[in-house]
Amino acid sequence: MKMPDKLLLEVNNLATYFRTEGYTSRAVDGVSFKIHSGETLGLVGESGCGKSVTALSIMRLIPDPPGKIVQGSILFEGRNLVELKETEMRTMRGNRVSMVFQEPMTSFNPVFRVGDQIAEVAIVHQRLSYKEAKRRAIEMLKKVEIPAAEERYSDYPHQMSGGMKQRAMLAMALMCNPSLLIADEPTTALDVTIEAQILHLMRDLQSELGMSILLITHDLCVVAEMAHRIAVMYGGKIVESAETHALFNHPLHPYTQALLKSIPRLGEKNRRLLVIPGEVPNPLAFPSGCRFHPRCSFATDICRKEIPEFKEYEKNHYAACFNIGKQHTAQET
Amino acid sequence: MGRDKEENKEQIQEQNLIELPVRSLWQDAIHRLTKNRLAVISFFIILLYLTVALLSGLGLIATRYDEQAYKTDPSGVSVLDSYRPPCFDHLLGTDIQGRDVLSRVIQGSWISLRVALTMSVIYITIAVILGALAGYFGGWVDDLIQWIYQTLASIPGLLLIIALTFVLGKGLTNVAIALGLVGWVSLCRLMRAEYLKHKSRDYVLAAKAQGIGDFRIMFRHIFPNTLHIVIISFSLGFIHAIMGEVVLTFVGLGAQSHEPSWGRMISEARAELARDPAVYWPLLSATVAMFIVCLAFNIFGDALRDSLDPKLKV
Repeated sequence: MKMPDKLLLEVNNLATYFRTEGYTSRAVDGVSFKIHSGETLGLVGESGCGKSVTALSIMRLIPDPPGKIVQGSILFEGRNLVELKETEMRTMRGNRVSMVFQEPMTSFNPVFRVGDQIAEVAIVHQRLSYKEAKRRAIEMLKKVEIPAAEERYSDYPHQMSGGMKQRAMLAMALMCNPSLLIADEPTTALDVTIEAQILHLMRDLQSELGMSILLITHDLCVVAEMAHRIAVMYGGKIVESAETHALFNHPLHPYTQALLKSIPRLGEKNRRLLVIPGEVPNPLAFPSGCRFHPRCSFATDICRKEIPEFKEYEKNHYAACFNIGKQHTAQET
Repeated sequence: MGRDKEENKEQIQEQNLIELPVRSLWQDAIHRLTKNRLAVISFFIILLYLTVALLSGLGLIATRYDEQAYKTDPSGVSVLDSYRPPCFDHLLGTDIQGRDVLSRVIQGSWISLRVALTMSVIYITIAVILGALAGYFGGWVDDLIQWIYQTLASIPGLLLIIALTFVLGKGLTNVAIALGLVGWVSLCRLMRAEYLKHKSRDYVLAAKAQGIGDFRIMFRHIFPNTLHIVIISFSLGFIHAIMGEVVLTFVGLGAQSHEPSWGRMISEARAELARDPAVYWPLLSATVAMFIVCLAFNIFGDALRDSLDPKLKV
C-alpha cells in the first residue's frame, strides 16, 4: 500500500463534553490524528470509548445542548471546522465531508423514494435540476452496484434489503464527490457476506474517486483489511496509532496487545482467548492517571498518578504508555 | 468481486419472482379501510354530504322551493305555507316563513362545510407550524410556544370563542375564525410530540449529515411522516367545527336569521316546540342531518387512525 502524503484532515487535541445536570461526560478528551488524502484511517475501540462522538464532532453534529466541542481544532482542507458558522458548515456536510451510519435500515426517510433522497443531496448542494439530479443519482446507484438502478431508483426504503440500503447510503454520501467519507460502523448491522461486499465496494470506490475514509469500527478484522493506518481509542483518548502492519505485528500499548489476543485466529488450536478484566471506564468519572491502568496487567504507581504522553516510539508508531520498554520483556518471559 | 455481483443479481431476480404486492403507506391504509364496512359507509355519507354541500353552494340544488316561495310572495315570506308538516310537496315540511325545510337543511350543509374548512385551514396552519418549531428546536422556542398554548388551554373554550367573536363581530366567517384561533392547541401538542420523536430518528441525522437545512428537514422530511395525524385531526375537527357553529349560532353569535344554518334552525325550535301542535320537523331535520354527518366523520376518522397507525400493522 502506497502512503499518500497530502494532508486532508488534522484533528488537534479535540475534546467534546456532554454536560447534564452538574455532571460532565468527557466523551472525547484530547484526541489528535491526521488523515492524508486518499488514505483510510481506522478508528477502533470498544463501545462507549468516544469513536462516534469523534465522528459527529468532525461533522459538527453533536446535539448542543448537552454536547459541546470544548477545545481543539479540526483542520479540514485548510479550514478549521470548529470555528465555521452553522450555515458554512452546512455547505460542507454531504458536499466535502459525508457520513455513512451504522443502521442502514433506519437511515432513510420511510415516506420518500430512496432515489429521490439521494438526488436531493445534489439538488441542495449543486443546485442541479431534479432531472439532472435524478440522472446523477442513477449513475451513483450503478456505481455502488445496485442492479437495475433505474427501477430501484423509485423503490421505497422498506422495499430494499439492508445491504442494498447501505449501498444506497454510500451512493448518497458520495453524490457530491466528498474528499472525506466518515463511515461509522458501516457494516455492523449487516451479516458477514454482505459486510465483505460493502467493504470491497468501499475500497473500489475509494480507488476510483480518491476520497479519504475515516472508518470507525470495533471490529479489528475490518480495519485490518481496509485501513492504511489505525488509531486505537480508549476512554476518550487515542492510546496507540500506527500503520496497519506495524500495529498488528508489534503493538506497543498493553490495551492493543490485549485486544489482539482476544480475537481468534484461523488455524490456531486450543488457545484460550484473552479476556480483558473490568469494563470500559465511565466517561463521567475516568480513573486518574492512565485511563487503562485499572485493567492493565503492567500498571505501576506512575500509571495511577500521571497521564502518559502520546509519543512516537517507532517511525509513525505512536503510543501513550509508561511501560513500553518493560512490558515487552514481561511478555517474553 | 465479480462473483459477488453475479450472486447479488441472482438473489434479486429470485426476490422479484416471489415478490408480494408492494403497497405504499397510503395504498395499504386504503386497503385496510375498505375492509371496514362501517368506514366505507361513513366515507360515502361524507362524500354525499360534500357533494350536496358543494352543489348547493354553487346554487345548483335546493333552490327550487325557495324560488317558488319567492313567487308566491316577493318578500320571500309566504304565510299561507308556514309550518306545513312533511308532505309530498315539502318532504320535510316548511318553516315559519313557508320555506322548504329540506332545502334549508341542504343549504345548511354548505354553511357548515364553509365554517369547517375555514376553521381547519386556520387551526392546522397554526398547529403544524408552532408544533414543528417547538418540537424540533426545543429550548426557549419550545418554552414560549408551550406557554402560549397552555395559557390558551386554561381558558374555557366557549368563553374564549365568545370573547373573540365580540372582538371580531358576529357572523359565520368570524365564528369560523374564532374557532380556528382557539382550536389549534390539541393538534399542536400532538405535532410537538411527533417532532420530538422524529428529530432524534436516524433519518433526520442522516439528512443533517448530508447538509440539509433545518427548515427543509422540518417541513419536507419530517412533516410527511406526521401527515396522518393532520389528516385524522382534520377529519375529527370537522365535527368540532360543525357543532361549534351550531352552538354559537344557538347563542346568537353565528349565522344571522336570513342564513339557513343548522344552528339557526335548532335555535328557532325554542319557539316552535312550544306551539300547539308542536312544530318538530325543522328541529328534527337539522339535528338528524348534523348527527349523521358527525357520526360519519367520527367513524371514518377513527377507522383512518386505525388504518394509518403503523403499530397495528402485522
